[in-house]
Amino acid sequence: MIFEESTDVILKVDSLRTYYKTKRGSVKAVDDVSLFVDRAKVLGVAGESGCGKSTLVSTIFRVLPRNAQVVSGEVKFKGQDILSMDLKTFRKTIVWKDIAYIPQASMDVLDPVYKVKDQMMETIMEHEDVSKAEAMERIYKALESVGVPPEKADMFPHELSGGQRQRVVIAMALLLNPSMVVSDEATTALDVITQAKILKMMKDLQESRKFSMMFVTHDLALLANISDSVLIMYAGKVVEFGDVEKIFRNPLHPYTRALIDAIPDLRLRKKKKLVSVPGYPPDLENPPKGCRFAPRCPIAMPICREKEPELTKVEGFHYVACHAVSRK
Amino acid sequence: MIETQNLKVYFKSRDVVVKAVDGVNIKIKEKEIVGLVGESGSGKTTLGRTILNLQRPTAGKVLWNGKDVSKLKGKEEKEFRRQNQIIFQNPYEAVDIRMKVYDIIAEGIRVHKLAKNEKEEREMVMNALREVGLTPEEEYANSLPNQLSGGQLQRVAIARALVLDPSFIVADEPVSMLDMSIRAGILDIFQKLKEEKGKSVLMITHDISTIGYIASNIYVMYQGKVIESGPTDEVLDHPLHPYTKALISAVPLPDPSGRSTLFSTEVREEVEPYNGKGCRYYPRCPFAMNVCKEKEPELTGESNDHYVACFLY
Ligand SMILES: Nc1ncnc2c1ncn2[C@@H]1O[C@H](COP(=O)(O)OP(=O)(O)OP(=O)(O)O)[C@@H](O)[C@H]1O
Ligand SMILES: Nc1ncnc2c1ncn2[C@@H]1O[C@H](COP(=O)(O)OP(=O)(O)OP(=O)(O)O)[C@@H](O)[C@H]1O
Ligand code: SF4
Ligand SMILES: [Mg+2]
Ligand SMILES: [Mg+2]
Repeated sequence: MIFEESTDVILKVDSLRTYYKTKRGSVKAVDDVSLFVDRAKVLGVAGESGCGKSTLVSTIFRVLPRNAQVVSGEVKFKGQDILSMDLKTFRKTIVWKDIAYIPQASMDVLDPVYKVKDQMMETIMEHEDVSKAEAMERIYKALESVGVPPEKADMFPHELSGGQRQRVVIAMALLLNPSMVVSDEATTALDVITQAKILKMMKDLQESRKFSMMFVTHDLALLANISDSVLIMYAGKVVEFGDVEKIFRNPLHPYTRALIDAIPDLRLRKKKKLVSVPGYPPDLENPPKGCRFAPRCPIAMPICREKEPELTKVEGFHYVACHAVSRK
Repeated sequence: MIETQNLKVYFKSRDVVVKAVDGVNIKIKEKEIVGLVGESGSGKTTLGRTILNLQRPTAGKVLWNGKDVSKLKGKEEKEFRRQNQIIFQNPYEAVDIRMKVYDIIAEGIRVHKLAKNEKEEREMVMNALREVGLTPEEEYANSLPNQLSGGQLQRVAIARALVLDPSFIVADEPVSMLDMSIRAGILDIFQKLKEEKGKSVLMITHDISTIGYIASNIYVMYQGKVIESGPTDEVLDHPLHPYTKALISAVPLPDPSGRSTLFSTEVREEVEPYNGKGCRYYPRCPFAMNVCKEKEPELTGESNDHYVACFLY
């Protein structure tokens, strides 16, 4: 898919399909996903639990489990097709150095038998030719920037709190001055003040170094505050993609609207009830025919159960996949 | 039903002593959901683990219906283990990744011999999966943890605790990986447990906006201490401690036009290192006075059960 709105692209995902093989068939976790991230911009990604966000991220970093398969599509980072690159070269020259990764499970990065500082040291030494002293200095600086007390550098991952561990991984991701960071629920265990502090630091980097981010989170309120563009996924598909202002001011897909309506409001908690979207997400091995949201959609029409809606441009940088919208 | 008395948990790690929990008194009554919020690293998980006797206190004690939990033996200890469950903060570390989801959930049923036969066990497991929204449940039951998404795994951890029908649950960030549409459903389960079955929950969370909906009381921790506590409405509508105020004002609003405000909230850097004797918050507190550097404020009652540890009051 071609997005005319992209002006200075750093990451581009085109018609990507990643499926998991199971005994019974295949789980279509990422099913025809296209997106772009421009330089010095932040893309926020949200969607229901299990809709394929982590699969998308793992595909980009080529850390998929064995039963997963990239069925079609491509991922380009700075113009290079990173899925077909030699895996060793990709790991050595691109991952961490140029595009860093904060996975949802911090233990994917933190080895329990190494002290925090030793892991960080290794990351630096593997990729750069610097003295140990210099590296050490950088490690302490990085930990400070995420608010982890210096004495924790000498500890093992299990001696840290959940949020401290997450912050160590964030610090590691920024250690080699990458031009882009992809974060998968990296701030889920942080209080809002610590979170704001870290995001501010990342925002500063973004401006000073033309640094880009792809930020996967369930916290839509947070996305509203840090993103330039927002991508909403549902059951392996992109259902809405566009400029942050457009998505929040004029959400078009019924699922996006439901998500935004469900955001709790501290000030209104006595008046507004917590709402959930009724029904369950579909089985990704046998997704429903037509629109995957149709079984839960309050405004579904007969065509929704027959034909899959395509991601179509509405107006400006705003795309949506919904028959009800394209009708208008 | 659960109460801590001047609870202290210190960790000695090489030559540093970390005062993870430093003199905490909290109380959870029957049929009550209590929220525990606070800074990352302030000791919330440690407190939760110690309450459930999974961590030895350095000093002080935890009382379960009046009995010291560290002194329970035999049958009583077993009963304590079944009636009090924890949902661990990180679902990736909480489950054995070689076990099928079915066995992860059934394990506790077997340990405590809660099912008469296999059929009953199966029913219990399937019900629990359905309850947390993991349907088709047969399919999830047969999955391995690494075939699940983060939020799905988190719900497995919740199901595992619920299936034992505990009377008290420590839920450590139980919904952190769930989007709002599912989160509301899970919080509803806790709400129902309380209302219909009279259960109690200590809910540790960083998500103040949702805790406001379900907790009746809130404790706020900062560096090992409770710095404010009281009924939810009191604490959220009239926060007293400068840290609590900052915490509430830093909750992001779902409005892109406020994009700059998230970062302009009082995210104050420490102006000086903590001197070891004053209020632990003074290095970051915009209202710090001389007395704040000299001694530590104690938790004192302000009005109707609303307590704060701050010299401003
Ligand atoms: N190894 C695997 N084998 C089979 N199915 C898998 C595997 N890994 C993930 N899945 C399934 O693929 C779907 C997408 O998973 P993914 O982890 O990408 O979701 P997610 O959007 O990141 O969800 P969450 O927000 O809960 O982390 C889920 O339904 C999950 O059950
Ligand atoms: N086993 C341990 N050994 C040494 N220090 C520990 C250990 N467990 C926890 N700590 C320290 O105790 C403090 C409190 O940790 P705890 O996990 O209770 O925090 P928390 O409030 O749950 O934080 P988070 O919100 O980040 O999960 C932290 O500084 C942590 O590093
Ligand atoms: S396409 Fe139809 S079913 Fe799908 S979201 Fe739009 S209206 Fe609902
Ligand atoms: Mg995920
Ligand atoms: Mg914790």
